[in-house]
Amino acid sequence: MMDTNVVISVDKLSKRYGATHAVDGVSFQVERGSIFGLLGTNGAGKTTTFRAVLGLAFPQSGEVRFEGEPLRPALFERTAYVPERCALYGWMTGQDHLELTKRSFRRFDAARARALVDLFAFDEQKKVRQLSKGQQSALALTLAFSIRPDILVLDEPSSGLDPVHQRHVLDLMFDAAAGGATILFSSHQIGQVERAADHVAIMHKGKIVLTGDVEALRAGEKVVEATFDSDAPIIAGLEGDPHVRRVERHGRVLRAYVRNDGNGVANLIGMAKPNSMRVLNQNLEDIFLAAVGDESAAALDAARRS
Amino acid sequence: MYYKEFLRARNSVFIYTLVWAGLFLLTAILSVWLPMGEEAHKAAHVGGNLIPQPWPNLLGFAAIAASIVATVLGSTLSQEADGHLEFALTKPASRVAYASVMIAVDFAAIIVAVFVGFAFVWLHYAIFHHTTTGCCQGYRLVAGPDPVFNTLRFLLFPLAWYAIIAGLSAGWRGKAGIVQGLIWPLAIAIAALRELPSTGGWQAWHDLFVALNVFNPLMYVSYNDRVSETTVQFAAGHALPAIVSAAMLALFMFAGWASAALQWRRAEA
Repeated sequence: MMDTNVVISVDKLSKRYGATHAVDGVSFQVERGSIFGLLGTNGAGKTTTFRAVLGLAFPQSGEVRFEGEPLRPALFERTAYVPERCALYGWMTGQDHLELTKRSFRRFDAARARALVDLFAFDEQKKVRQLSKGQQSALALTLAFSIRPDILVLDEPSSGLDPVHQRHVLDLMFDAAAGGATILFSSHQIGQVERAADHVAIMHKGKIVLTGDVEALRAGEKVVEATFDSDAPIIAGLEGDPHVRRVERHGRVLRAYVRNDGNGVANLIGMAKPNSMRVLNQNLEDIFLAAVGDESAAALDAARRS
Repeated sequence: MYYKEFLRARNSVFIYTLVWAGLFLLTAILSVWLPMGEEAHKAAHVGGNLIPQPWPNLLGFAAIAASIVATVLGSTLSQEADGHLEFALTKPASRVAYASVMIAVDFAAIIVAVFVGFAFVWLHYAIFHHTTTGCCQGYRLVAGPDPVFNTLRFLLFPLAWYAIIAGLSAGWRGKAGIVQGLIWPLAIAIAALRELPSTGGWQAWHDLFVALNVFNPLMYVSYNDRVSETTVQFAAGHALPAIVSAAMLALFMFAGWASAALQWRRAEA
């Protein structure tokens, strides 16, 4: 039986472009009033997933349902989408876009639109092509939030915005979710996702490699950090431990990212007689890097060392 | 939903009107400074009387001019598909409804453009094609033969022209310019090549271009009235009955519309 609290249900969604699997068997559910963050490296398939969810790309297989029903045009009356790249018309002004949105959506709230224009402080009389990337994002967000949507799909909504306006976007999301709106969004800024999302899915190479409640994920993943007198040693059995996602060595410091409470790994490292050792909660960045695999982590390590 | 296309169409018609106004001003100046108007006036006389001018002829001229606007607007769906689908297709309307509204708005603009052109041509006749005693005297505008279907086909021609461009380019993301750039020279060339001799080694070519011209909208604005000996034509001597031409142009219009809407259903961001 369908869970009536599920607003967006994505089941085994696959989208291929030629031989490339942009999205490969992706499944997730977004509950009413929640903020669901989709994380992934560039090319992980986040944007294609959003497009397939909204019917802008046709998946080869899989199913998307909104409140248990297939996507229908009428749903867009209460759904807003802010794409990653600017899809607005360069030759039209911000005011023209507001007028277009007003004429297209019965729910358009002119007073809210005015307030959002003031909040983001862009000149709505300018043509879109005369606006900076951040101002274009601000206009797209203004249009999206001005219809007071029940469902928001935001692909990199803070792209190009300054930190002040990024904070405004977060506040708008919190405000919308508190009012019962369901939000599906992606961001390259892990800190933003960590702050905003209550659920997260991590995509890598078209697949979801990790998903769950943000707090539960953080609680279930630990870092065992040990400091030695000399260079951190190679400890037999550490890398092969099924609970260890990744091991980093930076000079005398060794860090093991583990999927459980970390006690077993701490005991194993303790046998190598470190000077000090502690078990820490992982942040979302650690979880993300561990989830997207060794090559990303190795590249990051290399970049840190350089 | 239609507002963006309304703005685009309004801008196109506005520029088109400015061009007509400029041409009108130019002809007015030339008529004052050069004896062109007088010569034209004399040439239009037979035995001291003005030859009556069927207004469908003026409409035909205006329709062909308006097909320039149709050519410009015909790229609308191709342009929408080039980076704007995320905005265009997340509105509470079906894809077919969206495409149809875009096309309908452009159709309205094209009809306005026809009447703008007609008004300027009519003004030109009214002011400059008059007897020497004063403006507008002796000018005779008449209905001419088969005015209903001639009017209909001249109104349908730019719409069919638009629909063909939209139908050929809707699924061709951002590449409508190729269709817009090639359709005029191709249509004129195919119309001209119909005149190849139908004898000897040319027979097969002649037959080929006769067949191709069935799908050439220019063939259906060929016009030759016996009132003023005025012709609006791209294929001399091959003017079809107005009702047949109107029917073919209506067919092109609906086929182009349907083709564009079907392609739009499959457009992906």
